[in-house]
This record gives sequence, C-alpha cells and structure tokens, in this order.
Amino acid sequence: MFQSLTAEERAFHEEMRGVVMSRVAPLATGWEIDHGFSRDTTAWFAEQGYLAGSLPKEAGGLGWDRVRYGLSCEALARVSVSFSGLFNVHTMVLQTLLKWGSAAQRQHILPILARGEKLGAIAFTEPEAGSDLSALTTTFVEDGDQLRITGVKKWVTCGAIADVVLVFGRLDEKPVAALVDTDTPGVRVIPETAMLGFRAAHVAAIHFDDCAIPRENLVGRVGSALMFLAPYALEYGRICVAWTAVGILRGCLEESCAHAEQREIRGDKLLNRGMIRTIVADMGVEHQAAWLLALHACRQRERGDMEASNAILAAKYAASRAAARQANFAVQVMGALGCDEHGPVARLFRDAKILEIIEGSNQVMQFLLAKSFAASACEDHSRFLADESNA
Amino acid sequence: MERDVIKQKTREFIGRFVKNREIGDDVGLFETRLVDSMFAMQLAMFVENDLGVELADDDLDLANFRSINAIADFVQRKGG
Repeated sequence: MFQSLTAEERAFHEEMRGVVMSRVAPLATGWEIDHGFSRDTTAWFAEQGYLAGSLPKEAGGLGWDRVRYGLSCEALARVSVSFSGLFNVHTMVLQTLLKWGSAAQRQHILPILARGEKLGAIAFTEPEAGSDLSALTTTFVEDGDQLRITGVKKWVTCGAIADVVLVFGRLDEKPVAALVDTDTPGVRVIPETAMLGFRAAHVAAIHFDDCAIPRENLVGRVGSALMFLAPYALEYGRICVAWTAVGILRGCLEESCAHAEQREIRGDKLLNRGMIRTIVADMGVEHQAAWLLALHACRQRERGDMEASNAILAAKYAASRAAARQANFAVQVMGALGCDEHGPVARLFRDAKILEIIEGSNQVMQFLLAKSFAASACEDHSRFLADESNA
Repeated sequence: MERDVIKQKTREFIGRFVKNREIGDDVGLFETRLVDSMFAMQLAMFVENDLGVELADDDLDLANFRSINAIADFVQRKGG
C-alpha cells in the first residue's frame, strides 16, 4: 500500500499518524460520549497550521497538495472521523475563498480562518433540499448595503462551533453563497445531538431569522454559487470523504485482524476459520482498492487531468461504500465486542454510514458516474467492433 | 491564442462530455441540458488550464461560458 507513495509522502503520513495517535487517540472515545471534540485539541492543530494544511504557504497554509491533504484525512479518520469532519468543512471554506473570494475576503477573512482564529463551516442542506441543491429555499434579500437572510440549514458539520458559515441560498432566485458570522443577530444554532454517526462533530441546525450581513460577504458572483462554488467546494469534500473512508477501512482491518489473531475458539485462532478469512480477504482488498482509487484521483487532479473530476467521484463512491460494508463485517468479526458503543469498530460502523450520504449521496455519485462510464464504454465498444471488422 | 484555436480546443473539450453530437458554436450548452451539474466547474478548469485564462470571482457569469462563441469571446477579452 505504502509502496504507492513517494518516500516524502510516506514520511508525511507517518508524521500525521504520530500526531493523531498522541493528540487525538486518547480523547476520541470521550469525545463521542460528550458529543464533541475539544476546543483545546482544535486550537493545538490550528497552532501547528494543520487546519489550513492545504492552503498555499503564501496564503497562510502549509502547502499540502491533495495527496498530503488526503493522507492527513486518513490519519485523522482512523481515530476520529468526527474530528476529520472539522478539517473537511474548514478546508472547503478555505479553498472556496482562496479560489473565488473577493480580494478583500482573501486579504482579511482568509488569514483569520487559516490561522484557526475562527472556525469555518459550510451550510448546504435544508429540510427539503439535500442531494438536490437546486431546491434550496434559504433566501437573501437586498436591503441597502446589506443582505437579509431567512432560512434553515440542517446537519451542518461543526455548525455548533463554527464562527463563520458559508451559507448557500438564493437572491432574486439566483444561487448565491455568503459568509455569515454565527454571532450575527438572528442566527440561531441548535446542536443536533441524536446523530447516528459524526457524534463528536458538533453537528447543528442553523436558523437564519431575517439576519443582516454586509453585501460584501457574498462570495463569488450572484448566480454562480451552484454552478461553480458548490462543485468546487464539494470536490475537496469528496477527496476528504474518500480518504476518511480509507481511514475507516484501515481501522476495520486492523481491529478485526488483531482480534481474530488473538481470539481462540476451541483452541484454534479465529483467523484460521475459513469464514473469517473470507471476510478479512475482502476487507484487505477493499482497503487497498479504496486507497489506490483515492490516491489516483488526487494525483490526477494535481496533474490537471480532465478525468480527475470523475476519478474523485469514483473514489468517494467506492471508498465510502466499501467502508460501510466492511465496518459491518468488522463488527461481525468482533462479535459482542464490536457492539460496544464505546469501542473502536462501533464508531467506525456508525460513521461509515454517514459517508455514503454526505458530499452528495452515493446515489448521486452513481447517477453522475454512470453517464461518463457509459459514454466511454460505448466509444470503446464501437472501436472494438471496428477493430474486429478490420481484423 | 487565435480564435479558431480557442474554438477548436473548446469543441474538443465539450466533445468529451457530449458524445456523438456536433455542437454549434452558438448553441447554449447549459440551456440544452446536454451537460450535467459538474460541467461548469470542469469548464472553468479547462479555461484556466488549457486556454490560459486565470478566472476571478467576477468572471463567474454563465454568459461567459454559455456557448463556444461566448467562451471564445471571453477568452479573447481576457487576453488568453
């Protein structure tokens, strides 16, 4: 697996694993019980620059390429998918501002977010709009040099601790996105504590009750939010989700195999049972496949390949689906231990399911991928027939 | 970059998404629903990477990307 990384990338991954094991692993279970990762740990990661790792150095980041960003998500998710959620949403806001923010936003707001002095979140989903963002109903109304926002956003990852939220909605029916400080009068944050997964990710509903923001908080041109900003942000989100799933798969494999290696049934290791070997073989192959798809997608995007968009969709789809399936088997291998809510695989099982839904449900991924796969395959088939007739 | 080259590159790019169909230079790419929700972002990346135009937030007007001719007009205005 790690042979597919350069020596520098392997060293980076080892570094991140070390950081995560020392700073996150001892706390992750407690965070799940308390329904929130700690601000102290967040502040430490911010001080090290990790929250803005993917930003260029000249923008206050660490200059990670997408491979390093993905490897950091993998290392975090192995221990706490909820904490990796912060990196996901904060990065989506950072990258959207870096690419499409105004000069003033890049000069004044981006550095504050990059330093982690303020935490960012991104608000797409509404009670009646999830996969179909064209159904957004959060409205922006012009009021002099201000915009007034009314609407409800649901299931905002890190919404309960975010200082700034990038909110998507409509202004005169045109899709827009704007930065909203969560201490703006009229903003109500309601933690969502009864989540299946991401229990420590400070997920919240955010209500906007006719709250006023400066017009210059709009990001990008009016009308561009759904065609340009959202897909751009979501691509970073999908990279993170794909690698988060890889981290879950590694966790499933490690925990299952460690258990099966030491557990005995009638004097024989559990791992020697054929049915368990079948599970472990599938788990190992799916982990490798997910890893390679995620890595390939990131490398393609770094090269600027046109196929990168589809590769990222495929990586998100395949890895999240594999993570959900194998987390189920990890619980099965570990038996009653796997059902311990405070144990490592139960958390992986719960969190894996969420990955099949966020950043575009896997049904949306299938819809988008099928079209491109079919188009390429039909072209290849025509070529096959032509070659056959010429043979 | 010469206008003909811009248009040919754009036609080739669009051809990766719209198969077995010739797209006229003034056909509205988004109005005809020939492309999906990912296309605009990929088109923006193409304009930047292949046509050499760095996009700013003000450039995100769909009218700039509406058709092959619109894209060529936009790229030439930006000096690409």
